[in-house]
Amino acid sequence: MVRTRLVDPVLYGASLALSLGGFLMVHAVRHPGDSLGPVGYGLLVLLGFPALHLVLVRRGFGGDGLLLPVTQTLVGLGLVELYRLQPAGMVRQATWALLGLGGVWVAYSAAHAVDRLSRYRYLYALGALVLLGSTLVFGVERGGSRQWLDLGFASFQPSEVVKVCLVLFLASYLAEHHRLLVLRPPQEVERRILLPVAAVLGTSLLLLAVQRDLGGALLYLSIVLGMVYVGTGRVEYVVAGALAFAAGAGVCAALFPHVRVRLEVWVDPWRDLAGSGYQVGQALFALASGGLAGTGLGLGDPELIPAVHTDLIFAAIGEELGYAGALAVILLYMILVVRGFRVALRARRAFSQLVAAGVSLVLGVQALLILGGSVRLIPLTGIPMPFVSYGGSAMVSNFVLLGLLMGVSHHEEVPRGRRT
Amino acid sequence: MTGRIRRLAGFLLALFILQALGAAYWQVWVGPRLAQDPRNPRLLLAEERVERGALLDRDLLPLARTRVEARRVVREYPTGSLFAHLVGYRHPRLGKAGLEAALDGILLGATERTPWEEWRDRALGRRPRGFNVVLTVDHEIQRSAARALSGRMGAVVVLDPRDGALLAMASAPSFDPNQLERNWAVLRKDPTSPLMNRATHGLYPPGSTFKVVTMAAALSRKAAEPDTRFFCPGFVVVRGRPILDFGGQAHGSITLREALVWSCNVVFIHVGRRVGGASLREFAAAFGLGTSPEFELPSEGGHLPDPEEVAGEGVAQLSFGQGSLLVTPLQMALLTAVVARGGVRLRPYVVAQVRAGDGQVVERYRPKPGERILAEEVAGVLRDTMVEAVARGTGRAAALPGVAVAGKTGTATAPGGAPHAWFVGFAPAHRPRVVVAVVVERAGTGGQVAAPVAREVLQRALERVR
Amino acid sequence: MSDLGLLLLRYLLLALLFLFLYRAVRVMQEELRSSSGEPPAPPATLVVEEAGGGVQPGQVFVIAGEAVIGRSPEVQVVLPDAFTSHQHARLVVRGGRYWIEDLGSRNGTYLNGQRIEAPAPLTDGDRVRIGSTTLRFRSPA
Repeated sequence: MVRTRLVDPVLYGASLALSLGGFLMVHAVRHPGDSLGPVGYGLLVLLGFPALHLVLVRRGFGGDGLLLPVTQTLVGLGLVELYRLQPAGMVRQATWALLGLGGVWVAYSAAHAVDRLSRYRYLYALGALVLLGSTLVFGVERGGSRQWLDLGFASFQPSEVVKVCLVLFLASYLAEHHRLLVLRPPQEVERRILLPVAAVLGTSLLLLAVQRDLGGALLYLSIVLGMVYVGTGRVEYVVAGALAFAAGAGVCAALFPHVRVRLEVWVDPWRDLAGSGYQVGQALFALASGGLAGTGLGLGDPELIPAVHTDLIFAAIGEELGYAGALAVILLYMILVVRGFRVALRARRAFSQLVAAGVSLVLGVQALLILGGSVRLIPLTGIPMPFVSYGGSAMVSNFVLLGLLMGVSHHEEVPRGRRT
Repeated sequence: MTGRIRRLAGFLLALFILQALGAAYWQVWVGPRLAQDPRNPRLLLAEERVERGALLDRDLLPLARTRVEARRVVREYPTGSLFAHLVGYRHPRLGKAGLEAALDGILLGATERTPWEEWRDRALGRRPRGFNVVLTVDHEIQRSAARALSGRMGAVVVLDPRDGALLAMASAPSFDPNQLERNWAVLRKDPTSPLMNRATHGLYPPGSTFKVVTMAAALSRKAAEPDTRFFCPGFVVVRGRPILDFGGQAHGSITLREALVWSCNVVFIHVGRRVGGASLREFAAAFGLGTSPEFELPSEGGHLPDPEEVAGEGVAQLSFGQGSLLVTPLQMALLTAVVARGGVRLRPYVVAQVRAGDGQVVERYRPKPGERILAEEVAGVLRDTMVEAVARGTGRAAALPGVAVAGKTGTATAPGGAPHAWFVGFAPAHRPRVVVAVVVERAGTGGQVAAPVAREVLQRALERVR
Repeated sequence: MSDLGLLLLRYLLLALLFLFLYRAVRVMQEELRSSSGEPPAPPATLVVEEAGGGVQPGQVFVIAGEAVIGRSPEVQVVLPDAFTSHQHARLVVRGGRYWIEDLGSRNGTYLNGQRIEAPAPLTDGDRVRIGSTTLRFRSPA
């Protein structure tokens, strides 16, 4: 029988050994003779996971014990692959992870006051709008879109914080009305639903058109539709929303060449392999060259893929660790999503159910969007792979979401058969 | 709400499973084939990582080898321009040529492996080292050929008639393959075409050297005897226009044998008429003209005149090696080798051995028998006549003390400039060890220009080849 | 590093990855099997020592597993007292023992005289003060 311990040494041990072995292999193959400092730093940061977990347990944490180890494995894989691609970036990413762990602590503690959290709904909405607006006004142009704010010492992507605000806003908004909305609602209540939904839809399309952020638009759309479905059960809202977006996207594709190019490359990357299809083509070659067991860490050629450390790190992992590695990553995300929804199922009140479901949705959709783009199931978007892709803002915001989930898991989980 | 949460979760999980299938498609299903797609840049990178085998001459002197220089892989050619055309080059961007191209697979170590061996090597991450190739060429002979040609444009081909081994293949002007990238633009635009291997791709009219074929045809078809007398007034009227002997020389009453020794065009036109265009053309084809010779390097086949061109009076030009007939120096060497071998054709080869990195011989070349196209007596007559040609005829400049050299000169007129100077021959005449074919572009008469080149090369070659 | 060494390392890393996944799945299975994933807690009681409004001294609340303490009539341990928040604190079972956790109450929860900021484990005999009520935790195990 497997004794479930709150801080599972096998899980953390396997994960740390994996990262250690990965670092050493990359070091031996790619950077022999270099200092092992960055490796040590990375490992130190990874040790922060079980450390944090221990501290939380000491203080009575009783929530889901798989969330942190799974995240550590993902972060570890990301750091190892980054070390292979761009050692300097790896160090930066590790620091972001450390900050992320701090974010987990903060979010976890904030979730303590669940009641209070659920009341600030309009603040969240306002915050989201302000953040999005800030990029339009102060945004720095980078890679064809203006998603970044330059803070001097680092760049910050406000859209990443927006997704946190969005989840909290929708959770609190829908929780307030949820009882009313499940029954046949009066006109007034319907209007109250449609308004924010339409608002978010409109913002998504705006993002697509102005900021060229196909991924962001899809992400926000999925969050809204998913949470509205969970909160209201009214499939017609979901369908209507999806259709409206598709129509809008179609218009954008017709009007804006940058959208159309993305779609064309998705349909046939081989046509313009040297030009617009280069990124997707190289990613597919990378995956193909990985085969079942991969080329081995450091022995493949993922650097041939443009923007591999941010957009297409999955292809790099697929090349060097093969289908085995790629499948493992997919399974890791699945576990994360499953555990997150489990928390939602066992949460004691509507708001926390929605928060947990929303967080799981956000993490899952982000992973699905970038995985789908990497294997050509959907067009390639700029969504970073949660916890793995290089990117500080995304990392920290995903950690905050994780912290929220853990907080809800601890505070709100009712053991089976004991729902009040 | 819990029901909806469950459904949403299920929906996401289904999407994840879809991703897993998608990844499986690209990595396991389509993967292996896609990975071999020539557009995959990884293939080229992988090749560059294999330690490419070396090309060595018969004394194991390296002609091309790979060196690792501060984590960069460099292919160097220690003999520089000496073997530039034979050895060739292989450049990722500029293309490939010569043996570096033709033996690419062997140099990279690609061999036939059983599926088990392939899996085992892949699992162990083992990439076979390229094989080293030992060639038949001799750098000393090559050096003498290059030196003899220096300053002029042309080619020299030296073969061992006993088994077909290529001893030397020089083409001038040459280039330094070590500086290929730097000089590429200049080399490409150079009107003297230094990149072209004239030995295999230079097309020239053979001129009087072709008279060997004409004589062979006449003797074989009994259209004439070696001592059949003809009369040469210094010119012949063909289709209403006079064709002159070289320099307008009139040889008077002269045997066929003497006509070869002194290279009299007039007599050979008469002979050609006797043999007939179709027959002469057939003989030329039998000697291998008009077809690419079977050889490790791709080479030109030249051009045989169409049957209509040599019908009737048209045979005249062909009889003394002019007209639209075009040959390469390699073909002329092979042609001469037939006479040296008493009438049997020769298959040339340049790869002597393929060796693994540890020196173990993996493959050894075995010469294949050639077909007989001339009776032994006919070949004998030709041989003796060619010995005379060198002893006292037009080929005196090729004579060597103490050795009987058989040969034929040629002065091929080509519109647009001075004639090409030819010399083909073999030595020692009765137990030949060396066959040589020399062409010097637009340089004058064969006897004056090409024969001395041949002499120098023959001398060296006879020293080196026992 | 030798070719063989690299090869072994490659497969070792993949093995570790799947070991992790295997272990995670087993943990999930185990949790599904047992009702709460926790070893069952011994029964415990809260005995009123000093009563605020609404309860009598000596009143006993039987605890089995989790219980929320507060003023709201919907909770397990109802203390209708002005200084008690609606959902004031809760008892949870973690690792086979009971913990007391403050749920963000206005006046705080006190364990043996000390205000608790984080969940704290309970031992038999601990005194818990909520609002103006003091309860004694009894877990004879």
